[in-house]
Amino acid sequence: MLRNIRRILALFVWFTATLTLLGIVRAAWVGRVQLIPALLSLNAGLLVLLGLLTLVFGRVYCSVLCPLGIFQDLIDWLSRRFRRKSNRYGHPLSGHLLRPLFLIIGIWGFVESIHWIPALLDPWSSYGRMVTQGLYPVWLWTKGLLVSFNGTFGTWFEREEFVVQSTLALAIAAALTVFLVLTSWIWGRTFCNTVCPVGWTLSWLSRLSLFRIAVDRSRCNGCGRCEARCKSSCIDAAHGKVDESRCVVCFDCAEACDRGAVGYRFRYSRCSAPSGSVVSADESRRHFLSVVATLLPLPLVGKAQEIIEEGWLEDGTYYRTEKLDADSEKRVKIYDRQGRLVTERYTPIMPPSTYANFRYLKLCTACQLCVVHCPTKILRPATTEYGPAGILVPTVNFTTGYCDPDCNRCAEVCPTGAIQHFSLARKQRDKMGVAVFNSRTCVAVTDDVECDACVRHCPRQAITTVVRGNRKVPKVSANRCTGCGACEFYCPALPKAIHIEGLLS
Amino acid sequence: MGNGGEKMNRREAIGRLLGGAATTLLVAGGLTSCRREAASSAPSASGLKPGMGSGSGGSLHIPCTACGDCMPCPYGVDIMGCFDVWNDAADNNDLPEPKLQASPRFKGYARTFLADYHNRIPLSGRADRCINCHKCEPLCPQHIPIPVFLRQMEWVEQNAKKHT
Repeated sequence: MLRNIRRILALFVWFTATLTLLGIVRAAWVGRVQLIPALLSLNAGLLVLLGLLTLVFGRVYCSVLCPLGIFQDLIDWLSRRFRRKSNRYGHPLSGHLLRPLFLIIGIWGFVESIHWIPALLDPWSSYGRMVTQGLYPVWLWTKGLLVSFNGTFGTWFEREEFVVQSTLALAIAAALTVFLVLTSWIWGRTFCNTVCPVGWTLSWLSRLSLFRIAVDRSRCNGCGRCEARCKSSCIDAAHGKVDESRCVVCFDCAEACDRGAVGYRFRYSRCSAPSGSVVSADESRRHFLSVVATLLPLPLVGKAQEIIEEGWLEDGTYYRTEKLDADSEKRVKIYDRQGRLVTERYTPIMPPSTYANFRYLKLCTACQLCVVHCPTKILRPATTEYGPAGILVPTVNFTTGYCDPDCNRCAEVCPTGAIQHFSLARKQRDKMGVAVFNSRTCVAVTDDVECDACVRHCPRQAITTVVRGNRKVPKVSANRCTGCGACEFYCPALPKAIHIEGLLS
Repeated sequence: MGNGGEKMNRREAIGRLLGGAATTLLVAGGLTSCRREAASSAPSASGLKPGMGSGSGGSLHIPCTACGDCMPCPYGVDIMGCFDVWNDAADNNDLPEPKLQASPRFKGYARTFLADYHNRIPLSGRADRCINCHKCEPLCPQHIPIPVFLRQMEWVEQNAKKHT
């Protein structure tokens, strides 16, 4: 009963999360309820709620809300169907040293703005990258196939071409998928109990949970079925003990036991067995301290960005200017299919309403949700644009469209608040960059034609035509320009005669 | 459109009938020039400029014969393709004209038009890439004001996008 409720809820959340990450439905709540996004967006109410949930019921978060955990459960279910072995999982002391290690590395990366370290460890964004890099192209190809197969589908779908947005993102996602499928096929939930920082954090609360899985020694005959079935390898059947820090409350063990000895019981009721973590808290604390001691010198090793200037402006806003590596080079270069240079810019463009690079790069965990949901598909994961600290963070390029002034979809779906929510009225005046005109490639100069592509398409009327010599060329009013990229997208010249420069310092 | 799978390009159809590209061009050109009547450049009630062909005054057809004289556009616009999409929508009477905006059918029209347009014409060949250089206009044997129609198509597309 409990197990079926768990399975139904988990399947619902998993399907919603996957469809949202494929851009088919838009259920932003799936991302918002995840622990690390809630932490980053300082959603205090939700954090308290998740904490209470874990304190009362144990780590149900891991088996019901976390899409990566549910994905591992599905792999585990598949593995059990394909190879029927009674004695599957053992009871190793899995990763008690590794667990705090990964968490500390994650926090260190966060503090030092080496953004991709916490992003790689966060289960929600890991799952996001797996779906958007692996399953999303398949979905797009299916759509294209249906459209070309029968014209009727053409009225339902628009064919979209998928280009590999970033080989790096693809490689990282593929490596993680292979790793997860292998580990969960062989050992069950090893990732959750060795690598995942969320699992480690919740394990401290679940040690104290009011309800927990417990073995009734009077009914247990020590057959060990529950131990073999437990994918978190947390049951010690010989001694009748359950390691609550690792248990994700999936109720598989209760189903495996035919004597009714394993059950979900109130901690302080009389019939439940005495609480016993397999590893005493003392021992794990010692591990924790030793790991902290080894990692202490790490923050001194290297800072990703050097701060040039920071302080408070007169109106009370805090500003910070960071020196990026290779500041003087054109760091963004975009080529088309034929290998011709389309655009090059000194500074990468961040999505709208992100304001400050230190804030955006820190808060984004690169789950790629905005990349999938952007209607004009101008977002894509960065490789080296933001420097080494910002690998996989979405950046803007205008090869497939421009930023629609009447759209705030990226902010609507962003779970971490890296792209802050903004109203459409504010979108009209918020700056994400500024247009720069380069007369050398403008077709009005090179082809001697009258071109008004940028002037006509600017939604803010920021570009006017001026006569220079005997030619009409555009002139940008930097005050009015919001950097939406319409001029760059519609510019017929190659390389683009008008392009947007981002606002990174 | 709805039956996009079976639909043949007009030029192809005549070509298949007569077998030979040269005759096709001649005949196709002749056919529509016979139909060229009721030419009017005044905007109709819908705000759209009616095309010059097909007899009935309110028709929105563009009298393009797909002869290809205007191509290739130096800035990459697929002029024939765009006009073909437009004429197909006009054939099926489901062009999302802005005057139909209040109608409950408008959303369906707009979605069909957009999907057909976007599936058939790649991003770099759509009407909104026209920069108004007027290099195609003297090349057209039908004397179609190509940039005007492309601009109109862009406007209809933008309007359809906004209301779906």
